[in-house]
Amino acid sequence: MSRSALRISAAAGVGGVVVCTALAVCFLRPESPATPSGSFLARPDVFVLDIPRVEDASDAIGKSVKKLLLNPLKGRNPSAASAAFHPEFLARFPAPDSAPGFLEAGLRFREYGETAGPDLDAGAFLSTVAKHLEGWAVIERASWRAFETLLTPDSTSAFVSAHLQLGGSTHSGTRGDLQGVVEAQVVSDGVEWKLRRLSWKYGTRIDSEVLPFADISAATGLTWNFSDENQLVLQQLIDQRGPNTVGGISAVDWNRDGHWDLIATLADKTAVLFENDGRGGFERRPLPFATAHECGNVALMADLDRDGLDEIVTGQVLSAESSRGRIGVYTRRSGQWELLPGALEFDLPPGVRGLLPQAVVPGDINGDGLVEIFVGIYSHAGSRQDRFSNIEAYDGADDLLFVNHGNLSFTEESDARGIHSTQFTLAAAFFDLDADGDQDLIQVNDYGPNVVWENSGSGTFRRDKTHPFVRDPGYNMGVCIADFDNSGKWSVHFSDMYSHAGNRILRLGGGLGPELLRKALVLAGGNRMFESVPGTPGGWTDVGNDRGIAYADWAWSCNFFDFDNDGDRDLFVTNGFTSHTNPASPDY
Amino acid sequence: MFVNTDFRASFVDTAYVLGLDLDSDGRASVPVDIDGDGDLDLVALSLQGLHLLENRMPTRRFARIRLTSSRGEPAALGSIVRVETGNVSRQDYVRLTEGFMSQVPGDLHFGLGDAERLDRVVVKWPDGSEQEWKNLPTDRLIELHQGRQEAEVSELMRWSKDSRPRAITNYDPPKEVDLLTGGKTSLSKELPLVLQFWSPSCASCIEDLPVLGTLARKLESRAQFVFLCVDRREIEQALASQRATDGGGIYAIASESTLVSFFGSGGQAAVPSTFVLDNRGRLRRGFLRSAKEEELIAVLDSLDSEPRFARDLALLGRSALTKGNYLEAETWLRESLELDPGQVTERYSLAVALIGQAKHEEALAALQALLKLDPDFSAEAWFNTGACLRTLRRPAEALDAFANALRVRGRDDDVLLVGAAGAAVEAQNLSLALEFAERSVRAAPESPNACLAAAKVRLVRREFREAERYLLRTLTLRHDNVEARELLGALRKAQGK
Repeated sequence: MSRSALRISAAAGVGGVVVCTALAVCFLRPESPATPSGSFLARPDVFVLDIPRVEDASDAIGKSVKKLLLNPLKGRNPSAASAAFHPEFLARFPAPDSAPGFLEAGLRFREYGETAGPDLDAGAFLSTVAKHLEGWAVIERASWRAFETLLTPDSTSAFVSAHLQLGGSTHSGTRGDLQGVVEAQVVSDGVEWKLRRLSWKYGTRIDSEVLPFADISAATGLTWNFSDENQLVLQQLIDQRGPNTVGGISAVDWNRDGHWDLIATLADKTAVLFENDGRGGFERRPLPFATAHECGNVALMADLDRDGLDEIVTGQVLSAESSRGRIGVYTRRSGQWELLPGALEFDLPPGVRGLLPQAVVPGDINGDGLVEIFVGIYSHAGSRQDRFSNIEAYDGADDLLFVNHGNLSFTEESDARGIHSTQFTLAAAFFDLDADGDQDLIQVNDYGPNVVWENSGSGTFRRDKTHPFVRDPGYNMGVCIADFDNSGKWSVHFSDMYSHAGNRILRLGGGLGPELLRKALVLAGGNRMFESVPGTPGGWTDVGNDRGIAYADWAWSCNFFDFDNDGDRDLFVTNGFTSHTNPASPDY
Repeated sequence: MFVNTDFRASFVDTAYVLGLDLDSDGRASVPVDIDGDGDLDLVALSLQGLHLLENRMPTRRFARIRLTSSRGEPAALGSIVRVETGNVSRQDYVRLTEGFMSQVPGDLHFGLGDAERLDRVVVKWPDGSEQEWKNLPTDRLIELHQGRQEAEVSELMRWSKDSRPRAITNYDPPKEVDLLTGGKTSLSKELPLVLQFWSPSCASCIEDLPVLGTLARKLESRAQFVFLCVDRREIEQALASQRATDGGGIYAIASESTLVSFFGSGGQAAVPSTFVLDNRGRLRRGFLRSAKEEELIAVLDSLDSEPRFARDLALLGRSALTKGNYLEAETWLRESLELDPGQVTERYSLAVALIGQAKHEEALAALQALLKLDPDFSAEAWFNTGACLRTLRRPAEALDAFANALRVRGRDDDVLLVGAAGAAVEAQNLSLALEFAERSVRAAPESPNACLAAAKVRLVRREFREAERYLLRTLTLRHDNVEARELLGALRKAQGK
C-alpha cells in the first residue's frame, strides 16, 4: 500500500531518547570499520552528530536526488538527469542482464550483489539505468529513502546509504521493479547536492509475466457509498492525520451457500454485509447492528453456543451505565437476529469511558469446547495523560476475557484468570506457543512491549516476563503465525513501524548505552518475525531482518498465505498511515 | 507483499509487481477465495475504502480443509493440520482472527504445487487427539469430522467463468455517444449512468432489451440508460432491434475507446453486460450479464447512501479542540451532536470548547446534559461543571459538583480538592474549605497550587501564621508564583512586618 517515507511518531519517540546527544555539535569516529568499498566509496571517519543539522542535510539530499535524478528518469528523459552528477561522478551499478534470472510464481527475479566494476561515468550510468527502464510505458515508482546519512564536519559532503526503487509498467500491464540498497557520496555545490559516487550494494529486479492481482472492487460492488460531502470530511480528517484505525473486515459464509461473504465495518459509523452472489459480485445487505453506536472496529462471527448458528460479537461497548459496561452480542432466535444486551458485561469503573476495543479474538482456553472471547482494548478517554510514555505506556485500557459457560452466558474473568494489563492493545492471537496442549495468548501492544500469557492448562494465565516476544517495546499492530517454509517450526510475525528517520538518527550513535541503543533500534526497526529455534534462549529468535521482512514502513495487518499455491507461505502486510491531499506533505 | 522464494532464504518485497502496492493507507486484510477458483484473493480495508484484489495466478494444486470437532469449537478452533505430499509436510492451524481487525475463514488453505494427491492428512484436534486420513484428492473442499474416518469431498462453489468481473481501474466513461440513428448526444452529468453493452447478434441481448427498455422508462428520473451496441457492422440490425423495443434509454454505438476501457485492449466485449456509474463517473457495479431490475434498483438506492458521519465530524471537532480552535471545535461538535445526540464524549468535548470561549452558561448546559446521561462519565466533567458554577456564582451547586468529581475519581486528587476548597469558601462554608484544602496538600504536598489554596483558606479564616507558612511553601515550590508573592506581601504589610 502506501509507500511512505517517514514515520513521525517513532521518530519523535526515538528523537526524544537521543536529544541529549543532539544538543552539542560534536563529531564521532565510527566504531565500525569503513565499508569494504575500498577507495571507490568510503564512509567518512569523522561526521556530524548534531541530529537536526544532519536531518536537514538528509532532507535536502533526498530532494536533490528526487529533483535532479529521479524526476527526469520518471519523465523518461535521462539526459535531463545530467545535473544530478558531480563532474567526478562514478558509479558501480548492475546492468539488467548482469545476473541470472530465476522464474518463480510468474515472476522473474534477478539478484544483484555489489559489483567491483567497471566504474561508470554519468553517461554510462544513465545508459545502464535506461536499460532497466526499457519496455516500461510508465514509470510509477521512483524513490530514494536514506537509512543513514553521515555528514562531514564542513557540511559539504555526505555519505548516504539509501533504499532506491525504480518501478514501471509495460503497455500490456505487466510490471518491473528494481529495488536495492545503494551507498553514495554526495557533494553540495551550495544549492544542490550532487552525486559523486554511487555504489549498488544489493537488491533485486523483478519482472512480472502477468499482473497477478487485479482490483475488481468497483466491478463487484465492494465499495462504500460515501456521499461527496462525506468524502470531503474524510479527506479533511486524513489531512489532519486524524483517523488512526478505521474498522475491520470479516470473511464469513453468512448464508451457508459456500461462497465467502464479507462484513465490513467502520467504527462508530456503519457496517455492511456484502453478500457474495456467486455470480461475480456482491449484494449489499443490512446487518443486525445498524446504528453508528453499534458498529465497532470488528465483527466476529462464530458459533458461541454450539447450536450450529453463528453469533456476532461487535466489540463495541454499547452502554456504560453506573459501573457496568456491555459489549454487543447478536444471536438468531426463531430466524430473527436479537441483541443480547447483558451477555458480555464487565466492570467499568467510574470515570473510565470511551473505551476503544480493537481486537475480538476467540479461543477455547479451558478445553471445554466453548470458546472464550478476549477483547483487547486500546485506550479510554482518560488515557495518554500524565503517565503516558511514547515508548512504554501502561495507561491504556484494561483488556477483557469473557469465559463462556454455554447458552450464551459469559462472565468477565480477566483478572481472576491472571490477565492484568492496561497497555494499548491492538491485536491478539491464541496459539499453543509452548506446545503443551493449551491455548496461550499473545497480546499485541502499541507503545510498549507485547505480552505472552502462558496458559496453565486450566484456563488461568501467567505472564511470561522472559519470553523473547516481550523483551523489547514496540509499536505493534498485528500478528500472524505460520510454518511458512514447511520446516515443521512455527514463526510468529508482528507488524510494527519502520522509521527511516529513526534509523538515521540512531546510527549516529553517541550517548546511548548499548542496551538502550539496541532497544531504540528495535523501536525504529519495523516488523519482527520470531522463528521457533529449539535450544536458543526462550526458544524463539527474531529473524525479521535476516528474512527481509522488517522494512515495510508503517505496517498494520499481516497474513501468511500461499498466493501462488506453490506450497510455501508468503507474507502480506498492509501499510501506510495517512496520505495527505497535498503531495508535498509527508505521506506516512 | 513478501514472497517466499525457493532461491533464497529471505523474502522479497514484490508488492508493486504483483499489483498489491495500492496508493492508499492500508489497515485490515483477509486472504479469502472469493471467486472459488482455488487460489486466495485479498480483501483489504484502507482509510480510502475497500479493495478486492483478485488473484489471477496460473492454476496450481491446492487443498481446502474444513474441520468439525466433536467438542464443537467453531471450525475446530486451535486444531493443527498437517498435510503430506511426497516428502513435503505442510502444517497450519485453525484460527478465526489474524493480523489486525480481520476475521479470516476457518477453512485452511494449502497450496500444493504440482502434487496430485494428499498422501496423508493428520489433524491434531483441540482435545489433543490425533487422527489421520490417507490418499485424499487435491483441488477440492475436504471436510473432516473428528472420529469419522470418511472424508467429505466436494467441489468448491465458484463463480462461473463468464461472470468473472474485469478489473476496471483506469476506465474512461463516455461523456458523449454516437447515436444509432446518427448524430451525437451528450450523456447526463447529473444522473447515474446504466450502460448496457449488447449486440444484435446476441440472442439473450435481444431478449433483454425490452425488459431493460421498460426499466429505463420507469427509472428515467433516477438514471440514464445507454444501450451501447458493440458491433459497428450491424447497425441496421441494431436499429431494427431498437425499434422493436419501444422502451426508454439512448441507443448508441460503443466507441473503440469505451470498449477498450471497459474490456481491455484486444479483449472481447462481454455481451450482454451492464455497468452502473455514479454521477461522478465512478464505476459502482459491473454485471457480466444483464442486470435484473431489483439489482439495479438496489445499486441506485445505495449510491451516496452514506452521508456525513457524526463520528468524523466529532473527530474534526476534537482535533480543533486540541489546537485551541474553540469556535471551530464548537461548530464541528454541534453538527456532530445534531446528527447523533447520544454521543456523551462529544458532549463533553463541546463543553470544553465552550469553556474555552468563556460561554459558561452553554458549557454548563452541555455538561449537565452529559452527566444526566452518565453520572459516572468522568471526574473532569464534574470538575468543569463545578468550575462553570463557580464562575456563574452558584457556589453551593459547585460544591456538589466537586463532591461528585471526587466520588468518580475514587481518591483524593489535589486539583479537584483545590476547586472544591474554592467553592466552599465562596459558599462561606469555611470549615469544609479547610478540610478540602488540607486534603489537597496531603494528596500532593509538592503542588504549589494546593499550598496556595490552603494559604487562601487560612487567610479567609484569618489564620495568618498558617497562611504565611503555606505562602512561603508555595514560593519554595514555585518561586515565580505571582499570586503567592502578592498575598505574602499584603499579609506582611497588614501585619506591619
